Amino acid sequence: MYEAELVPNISFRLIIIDKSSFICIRLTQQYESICVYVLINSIIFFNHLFVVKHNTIMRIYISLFFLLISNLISAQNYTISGYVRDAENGEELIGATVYVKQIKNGTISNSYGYYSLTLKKGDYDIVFSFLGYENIVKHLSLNKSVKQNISLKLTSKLANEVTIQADKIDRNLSSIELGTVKMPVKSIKALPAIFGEVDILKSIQLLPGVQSAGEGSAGFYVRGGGPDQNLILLDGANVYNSSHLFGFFSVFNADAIKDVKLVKGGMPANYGGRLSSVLDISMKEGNMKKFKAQGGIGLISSRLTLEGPIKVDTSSFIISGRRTYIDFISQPFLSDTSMFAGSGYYFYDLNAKVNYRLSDKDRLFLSSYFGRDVFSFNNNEDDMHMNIPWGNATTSLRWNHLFSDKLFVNSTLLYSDYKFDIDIIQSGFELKLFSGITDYSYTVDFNYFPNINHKISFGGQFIRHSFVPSSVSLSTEEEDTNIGEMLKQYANDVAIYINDEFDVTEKLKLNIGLRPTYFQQVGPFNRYIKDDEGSITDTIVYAKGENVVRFVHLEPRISARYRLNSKSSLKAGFTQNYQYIHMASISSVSMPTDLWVPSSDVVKPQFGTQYSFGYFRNFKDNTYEASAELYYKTLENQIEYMPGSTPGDNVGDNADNNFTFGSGQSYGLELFFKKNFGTTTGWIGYTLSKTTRIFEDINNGKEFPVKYDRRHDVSLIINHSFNDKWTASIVFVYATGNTYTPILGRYFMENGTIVTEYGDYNSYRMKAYHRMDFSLTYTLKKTKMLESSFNFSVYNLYNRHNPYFIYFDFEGDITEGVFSTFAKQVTIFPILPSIAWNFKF
Amino acid sequence: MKDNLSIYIKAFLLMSAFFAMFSCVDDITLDFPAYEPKIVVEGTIEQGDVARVFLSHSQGYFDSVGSDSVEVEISGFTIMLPEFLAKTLVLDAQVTVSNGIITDTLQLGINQYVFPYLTYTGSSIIGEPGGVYTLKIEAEGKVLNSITTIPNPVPIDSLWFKPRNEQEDSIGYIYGFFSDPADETNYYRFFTKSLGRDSNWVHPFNSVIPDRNFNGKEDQLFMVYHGDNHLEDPNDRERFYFKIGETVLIKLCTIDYDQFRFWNSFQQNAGGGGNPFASPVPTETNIEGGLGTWGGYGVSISEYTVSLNDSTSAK
Repeated sequence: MYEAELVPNISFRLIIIDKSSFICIRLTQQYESICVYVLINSIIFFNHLFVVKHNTIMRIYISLFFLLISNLISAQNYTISGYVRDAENGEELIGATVYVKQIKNGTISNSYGYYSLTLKKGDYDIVFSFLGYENIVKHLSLNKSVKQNISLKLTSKLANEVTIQADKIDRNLSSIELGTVKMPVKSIKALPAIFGEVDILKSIQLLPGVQSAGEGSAGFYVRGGGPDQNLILLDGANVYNSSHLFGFFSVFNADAIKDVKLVKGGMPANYGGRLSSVLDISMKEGNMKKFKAQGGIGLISSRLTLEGPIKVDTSSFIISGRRTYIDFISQPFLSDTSMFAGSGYYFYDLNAKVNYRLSDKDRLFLSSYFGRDVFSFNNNEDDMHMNIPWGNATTSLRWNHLFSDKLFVNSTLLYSDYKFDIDIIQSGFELKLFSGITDYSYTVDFNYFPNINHKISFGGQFIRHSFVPSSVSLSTEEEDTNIGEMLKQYANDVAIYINDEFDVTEKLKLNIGLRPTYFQQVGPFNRYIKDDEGSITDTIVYAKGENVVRFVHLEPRISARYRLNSKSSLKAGFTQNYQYIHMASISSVSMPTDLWVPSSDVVKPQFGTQYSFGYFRNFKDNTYEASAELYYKTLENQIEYMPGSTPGDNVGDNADNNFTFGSGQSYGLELFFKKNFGTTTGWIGYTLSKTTRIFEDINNGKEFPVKYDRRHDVSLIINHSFNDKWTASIVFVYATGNTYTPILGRYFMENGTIVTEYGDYNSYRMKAYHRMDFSLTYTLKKTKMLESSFNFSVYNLYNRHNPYFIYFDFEGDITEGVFSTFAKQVTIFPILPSIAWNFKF
Repeated sequence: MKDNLSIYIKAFLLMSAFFAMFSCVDDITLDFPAYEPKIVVEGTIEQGDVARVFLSHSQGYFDSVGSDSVEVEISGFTIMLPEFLAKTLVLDAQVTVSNGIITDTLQLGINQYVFPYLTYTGSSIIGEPGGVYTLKIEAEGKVLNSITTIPNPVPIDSLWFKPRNEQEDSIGYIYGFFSDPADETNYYRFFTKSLGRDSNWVHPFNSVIPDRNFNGKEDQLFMVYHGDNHLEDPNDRERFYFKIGETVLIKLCTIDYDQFRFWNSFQQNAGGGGNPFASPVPTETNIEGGLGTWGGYGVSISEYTVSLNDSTSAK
């Protein structure tokens, strides 16, 4: 590595990566140079660790990457920068478009509503726009750098429709984002809600490429990836279990949420740690202007959100709570003398956030989420008492700072926790099971806007994980029998990244990024070594802080957009990701009991590669947008429990000793057609895909389809507003049925015990899943005091009996010679009408 | 261990039960291909005993069982059997066992206590610890092969009775000690027989354990309850316990890894069969060309008369 100071004051740094390539970066301002310098050097360091064992293609890629980054030569330029906000409540708008008419180019506001554009001296018309808001056009004679904060007003329905249409921006064509969908909470709220609860997760499952495993299953599946391969962030903090009641409701209370972004392909380098997708959810900041309350009363749950300024335009708060009362409703059916008295289920969520604008350049945020599901079950006849609480807690403390109008930094301290407990007392025996994961982390993200052609982001992340994959203890009235020590696993997870969104020509835009990652499992830890038959032959003891295993990997990300004409563009992407945490699911459905385990000396990091390609076209002056995307994805080092493993096998053993390892692939075509404007809006999405896995110990090593392998998947959403009072929406979904393993035969052993003989793993399919939902909202006359609406919705309008699971039942006794077997299908939700009253004041 | 899993499932089902006010169950017909029956082997060779092999046919999962009877000719006798039972029988099989030196041809006979009531029994080969035994079956144009070993037996050191609880102190479990050999990997299988109640050996539902968590431990504690005797009243909860005053035999068997894998998967299969939440556990087999198992057993038997407050050293 060679460095030289070529010109005093303007320093060039020449860094030789290897003999064939070099980079040079010109930096003019001292503090910027420090940040960039530190970052580049750490990448070089990682690179150094890495390049030794990596191939030539990667080296060329890295050289190319640095050459692009180096192309930051600026002429006589000035910067216009500021925040884009909602005029009414002062909330920053994420992803608002800032478009410069003269150069037909622009930018979008970042996750904190900040934008920065550096342009040559001249006259410009700058259009600020955000879906659902009225555009603002600013005319500027740029001869010095300016701060320009913009407040956009909500469009009133139907009004000014013509003017809005005139300035519609073709964002999906111009942006480089591939496989990325933003859903404003407003449009999520327009969809039919089950039991009056607006559900963010269910809404994103209506997008092509995103699937649910059906009702009653937690988690979602993106382009053939598992539910553990989604990075779910709430204000930057990891949420490990995103649903209540096994997927019936999501943990995100829509009243407290500002913005939802889903990245399913072409993941930029600032995100990492998961293979398949990012679901980035931002909580509301709280109204900066005046005190507001909103809420809703539904059949089984209610919500209340309070927000307002602590000091107008300087600081604000929001607090939001939600609780179900299924337990109260079911109480009358359970008398005190009943066998099941005292049984019940409920969940609650609390979101809270405060923020403070310290100055024009600094802002602090503190946000927190806490939620629990609590299930208790008593069977007084059997003297059995069971208590099962589980849930997430997250906290983020973040600081936004502007170093200059071109360099924005956000640094965040994060805490995130998920735990699951089972406590069962029966006849003097007490059994406890516990599993969980806790993270402490620090992230720093820089956004650097050197000129209109580059948008550079870089930063880093450190996470300290502690895992309790599974711990079991059993005690009796007489003695405590700890069946196994609580086996904790600790890990350090480090990543740094740099990403440049670069306009190569007017038509070609590249987004090129690099993310070196480092993961280390550290002691204290006991590794049990087992022989082929599963007997422990040796134990390796690691002391506190001692290295168990470490991994260093480089993740390249690249995507490109080529603008064909004013109506269409082509996009392509290539990403590679490593994932150092794994979810092991012992059951055939995703449950809160699923364990999180780190990569270890036994479990290699998951590795994913995705190629995607898309054609985007808009019609009728951008009123309609359409896209077709193709993807191909491979997944390495996937885990499953060995067939026949049970949670008890973790006792006195490392959980990962019971895993089997395999690989997977998925490919598909996603079609999307959407209408954004007018009294009728909505979309239709279709996905054709195939997802398979291969495991040596499952299905005799033959390839098999995953449970949620969907050949066809269709979603249709239509929203219509009739007038100021009435709006209606319809959702229709169709999906190929889940796979399952058939039971083909039976035989008798041991004096009549029935043994079942299975067919090929996941070789049969349940009936197709389809359903239509309908929702009608009546907005009451707005008074000075109160704005409120009634929402009537019907889930599963035509009462389709969709299979939740299939089971087999039999009648008679084989030894008496009369015996027959039946297959039965369980449906959880037939037609379900509900009503809710939502208010705002 | 199995119990943990069933707790999860129970918890889940109960939780879903709160939605049971909405959920519904439909009968459905599944479009599975026609089933081709296979030959199922259940064969043992115990230390000090001859080889015994039960043979039967597997059947399609949805084959219904009627009450019709048919005539079947076995060893020259004609008997009436329920139709489904007749279908499962494998008659006229050529079953041979070899210890590497001599070959024993097994003869078909009737065992009235054990379903499917017909056994092929050996005569010239007696099981010995360390012996290796190959099994060959020729029937219905098929040839099935298998091999097993008899591991060295491990003696039971002592036995005592533990009442179920203070209120019900006349029924309970039997506890005991044995010493696990340190220099080998062992797999155990337990059987019990209550004299007067059982005509055959029975075993608890979970009957196999590996020594992976206690290899080489002297005084390894074990607990057994009375196994499931199909002839007893299935509604009698006390049938799974031992009773004060009765004399029982406790049989501790040593088995090889193939036997452990078979019985372990057998237990899980029988426990999880048809359970919608359990991942399917295919039952292992060490029979080439068929289903089931062929296993050698090292045997230690202790007799114990169940009594309160009395530890007995095993014979």
